[in-house]
Amino acid sequence: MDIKHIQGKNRGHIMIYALSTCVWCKKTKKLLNNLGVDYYYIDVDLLEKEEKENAKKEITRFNPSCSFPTTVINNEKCIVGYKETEIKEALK
Amino acid sequence: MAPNRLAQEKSPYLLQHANNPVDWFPWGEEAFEKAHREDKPIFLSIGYSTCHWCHVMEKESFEDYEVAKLLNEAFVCIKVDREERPDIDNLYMTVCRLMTGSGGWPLTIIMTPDKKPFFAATYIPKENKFGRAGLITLIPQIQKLWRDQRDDLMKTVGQITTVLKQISKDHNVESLHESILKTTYQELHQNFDENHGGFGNKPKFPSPHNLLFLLRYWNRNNQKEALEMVEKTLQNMHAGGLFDHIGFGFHRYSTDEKWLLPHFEKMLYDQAMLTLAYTEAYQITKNKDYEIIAHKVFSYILRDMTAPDGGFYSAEDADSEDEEGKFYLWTEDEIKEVLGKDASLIIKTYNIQKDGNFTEEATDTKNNKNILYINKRIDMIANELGISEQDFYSRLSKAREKLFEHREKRVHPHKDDKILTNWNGLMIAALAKGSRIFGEQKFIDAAQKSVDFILTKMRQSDGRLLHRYRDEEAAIMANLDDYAFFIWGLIELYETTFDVHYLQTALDLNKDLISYFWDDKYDGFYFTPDDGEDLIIRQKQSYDGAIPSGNSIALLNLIRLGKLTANPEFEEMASKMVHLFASRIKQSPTAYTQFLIALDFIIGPTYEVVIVGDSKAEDTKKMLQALTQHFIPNKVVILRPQEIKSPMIDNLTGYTKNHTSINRRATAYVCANFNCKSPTTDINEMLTLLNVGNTIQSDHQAGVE
Repeated sequence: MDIKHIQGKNRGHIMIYALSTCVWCKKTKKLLNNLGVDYYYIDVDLLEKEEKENAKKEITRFNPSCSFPTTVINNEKCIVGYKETEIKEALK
Repeated sequence: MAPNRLAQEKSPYLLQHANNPVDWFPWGEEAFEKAHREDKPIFLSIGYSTCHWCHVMEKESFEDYEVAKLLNEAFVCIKVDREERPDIDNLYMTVCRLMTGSGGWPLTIIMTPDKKPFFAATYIPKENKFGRAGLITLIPQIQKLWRDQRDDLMKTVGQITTVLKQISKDHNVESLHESILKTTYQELHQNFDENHGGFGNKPKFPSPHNLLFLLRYWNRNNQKEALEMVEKTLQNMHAGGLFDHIGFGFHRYSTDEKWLLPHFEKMLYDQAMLTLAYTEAYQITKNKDYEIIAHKVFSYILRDMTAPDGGFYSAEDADSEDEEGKFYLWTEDEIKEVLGKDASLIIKTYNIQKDGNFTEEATDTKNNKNILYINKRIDMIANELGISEQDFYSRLSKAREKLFEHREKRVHPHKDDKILTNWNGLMIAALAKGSRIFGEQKFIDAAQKSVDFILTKMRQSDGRLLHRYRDEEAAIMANLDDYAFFIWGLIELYETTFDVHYLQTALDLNKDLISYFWDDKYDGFYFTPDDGEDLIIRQKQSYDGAIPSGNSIALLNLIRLGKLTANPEFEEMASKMVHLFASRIKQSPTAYTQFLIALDFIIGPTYEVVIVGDSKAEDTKKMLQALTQHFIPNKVVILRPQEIKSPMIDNLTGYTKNHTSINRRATAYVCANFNCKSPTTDINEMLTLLNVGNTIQSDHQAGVE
């Protein structure tokens, strides 16, 4: 699976499930860039068919409505959507 | 007698006073200099051309030589058309409310040569009557005060100016929560007239933004009663004399609680806001009656209120041949004469009576005149006449046309044919939305022509908007309402035609609005630009009266433009505005229902929808149509045309570049509340993502031909 890694300060394992087309996903990535934290992301829409299905299954574990961005921190905390304050709070 | 200086003006209202013996000046330096030079106070009279009591005061006093002589001796007299100069009107109306506890037109202000007021009133009779001091008594008293007690007078002036300045600095920052929507609903519910629809007692104004608010409240909370209140009001307003059943369009307000006896003037803004209410009600209920009513109002606008080059006229007067409503009233004999044997149909349907069907407000007697109104269901009338509904409608429609043709021969009420950017903006919004939902091309054409007219004829060379056009002259710097309402129209027109130029223009004008009207210190928009004429204070208004306030509409525009172009700055400004006006709104929420419509949008859920597809293809059209068939007020829609390689919309939104269609089929990208769903080509799935339920069918009540 094509997982991108952006290097930065370690605030735990952060994974953003995103769409390349989604404006709120872009804003979430940009926010993390500005905060300078280390994170991973997948643009789910750019994956091949089978991988896409797998990625969606993963997302549904955290966010049953499967919407984007879904940001997962340390494999447990999940933030759905671009929620600036909540994300900042979680990465303190 | 030679005409006075108003003869050089463009405003029909000012021109109406050009032959008064009062030596009127238009608002301007010449008048203020004269007042300084002669050390006289200023008598400022503000009104508008279709205002009934303005005419009464003119006939009684301003055309009267005795009064004119007194006025000319004591004062420098200035006349202002409130529709031309809403900034002056707003300011001195605030003064009048402060000093007297109420307001209205004609507005009468007496002030120093520096424009600082010390006396305020509305209509003043010539002689003392109705417990009011008449001009004949008042003028010498004020003259004496000015001459002998100037110090006391100046103290009053100082106090009023101080209070005004304090009010304009009102900037308690608070927040507003979803609960305010409920409070507002409950207050509207308490004020609701269960018998006749509408709110409060007589006189009853249509206040369409109350209805638009209630539709959103219904949508948010599935509160059935909210929709019932709207439907009852819409049906009764149409059935009553408030609606012109022969020539269409709504009169300004009803003098009684039953919507029977109106004040007969017709205002452009009412036609716009009311058709929006009928259009949205149709969207929700699919009741054809509402569609027909909206069509009728639009057809009135296109027939009678549209200038050859595309702008919309402002208003039609109540009076003709010196009688209020004469043009609109009928005697039974007249109807029989015009229609012959078909007269019974009209007589039964519209409750015509031999001796007249209403009592006059002033004399409390009947005068053989009738106002057309409906008070029973159409199927019942058809039944009484022993004909089928279909037959009934076709005969009614023919009879109506005959009466219309006959009425056309009467002396028409005066038309105020100036073109105002703010009111045109409202009509553009209404037509654009109406055409989107009813699929009527001629409404789009009319909206586009008005936009073209304003953009080509009503701008300065630097692109700044102007407020008024008449007689080939555009003038007066645009105010907040001009910008806000026109931008609203442009956004609606974009979402109807998906012509990117409208969105681009909306963004350009919004930029001007922010740079010239935004208060950098305390937020919110001033009514006048920072380079406008210097009045005592720059006001910041949010009250939604007969017309929604500029701040309320500007707020909604900011949110929509913010979402359309993913610009968080706009949304931040919107949030600041909510904080700024929160404390006022909490005090009397029902006075801010248009503002609360914007708050409803902010609270969400809000949706951003990007449709990607060939803009000429059937599947794209179907997808867009599906969006218009449902009431989803809190959304923005973008079309990214697939057939163009790099469509202009990408430059404006900054985020649609990678939006492509799936398998070349029309594709919907839906985002809700800051998160997005996978794109879909399935219309039903798109609607599910937008959380659209089923529509409700409403009962057909009155019925409309």
